[in-house]
Amino acid sequence: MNTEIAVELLKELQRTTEQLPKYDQSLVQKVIEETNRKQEQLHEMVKQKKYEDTISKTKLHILNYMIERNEQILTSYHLERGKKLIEMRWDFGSVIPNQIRENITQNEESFHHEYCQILEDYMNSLDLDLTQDHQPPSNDLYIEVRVLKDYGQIFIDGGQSIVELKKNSRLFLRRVDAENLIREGVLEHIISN
Amino acid sequence: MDFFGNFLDPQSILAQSELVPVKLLIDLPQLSQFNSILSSQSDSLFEIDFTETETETETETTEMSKIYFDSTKQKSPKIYLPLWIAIPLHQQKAVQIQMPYNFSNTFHSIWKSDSTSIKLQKIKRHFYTTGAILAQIFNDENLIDSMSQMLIKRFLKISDLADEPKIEQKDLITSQVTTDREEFIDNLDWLEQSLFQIGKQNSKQYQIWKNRASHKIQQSNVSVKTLKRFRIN
Repeated sequence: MNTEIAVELLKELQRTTEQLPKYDQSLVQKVIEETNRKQEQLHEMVKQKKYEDTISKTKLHILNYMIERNEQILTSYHLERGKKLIEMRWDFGSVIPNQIRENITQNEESFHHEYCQILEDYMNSLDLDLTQDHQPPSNDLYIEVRVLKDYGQIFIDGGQSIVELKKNSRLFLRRVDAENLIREGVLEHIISN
Repeated sequence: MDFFGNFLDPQSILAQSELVPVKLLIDLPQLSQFNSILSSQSDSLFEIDFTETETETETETTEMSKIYFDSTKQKSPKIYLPLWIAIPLHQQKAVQIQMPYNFSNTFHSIWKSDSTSIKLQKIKRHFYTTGAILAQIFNDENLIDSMSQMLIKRFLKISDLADEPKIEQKDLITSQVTTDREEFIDNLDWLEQSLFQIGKQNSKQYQIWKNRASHKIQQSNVSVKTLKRFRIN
């Protein structure tokens, strides 16, 4: 049975049913320590000039492959987590729910914040909200929605009106005003056939 | 020669952990020491199979692993290495990768004739990826051809199962069908499981379209998985 402790990081990401599992600081630390140990062994062999015979050369190569393998896995782990954070911005908005905030590191939070900022700047330059319309929109400017939870008051019509969102009430709202709240799970889009 | 495609793709990385048998081309008399230097803190990197050796007259164990080797035997033990180390060593001619028994010509006729009953996950989690790499190394077109035909036959069954709704209520007759279905799905290779998941999503999207609800705005996956709601006044 081959045992690469780094591979467990990727398996954790695959196994999880949550949006983003908790950052495994202890396992990442173990992988880094293992890589550093291999690095020291490599340097020691090079320093003592133990690379003249075939066996020593092979050992050096193998140590090098192990170091590269760990680096590859660590990079892939952090990249996958970064991709999930980006996906969350498009799927849910710029606010990170508390349950997910507990699972991410400070670096990841600042990455998410910077990404949101870049996206906002880009959308402002185009004067377009690119995160709207995840499904092809119908011709309806207004849609019927049901309120799933008491949410309080919101601004609609570009900030000109206020509407109260009470549980189980049905409203006609502009699609652009309702879409984000539907995606957050506050409203439900009702289709009448 | 690029064997694994995307360098940072998690599935490619996991596929590289699959073990293949190798033959040593260089002399490694201190195999156990060699292994103890290279292994991580838990078990050994290499898996050494001693089923082919007869009686062991001398054994040597490392503190970290359960490796034994018989220094008096001329026949060298069979060694299994993960692909990520076997391929570069093979290219440097330090080891020679050997065709695993499960991918040999013996099995090709079984793959073609009885494709849907084979439990691929028990052979290799990344069966097709490993097979494709072995075919590249050994220049074996027959292997590619056999795997392709097997995948086509299995794909027909996978796409049928993906379209079927899951049977919730079981009676004496259908419970058997459901068990077979579940068993087949549980034993798919990762590529086939991805195809199955895509098939299920497509089936769901088709139903939504059929119900004239494809323009319905869906709740995001994040909010579905996150149960708490905010209350703002």
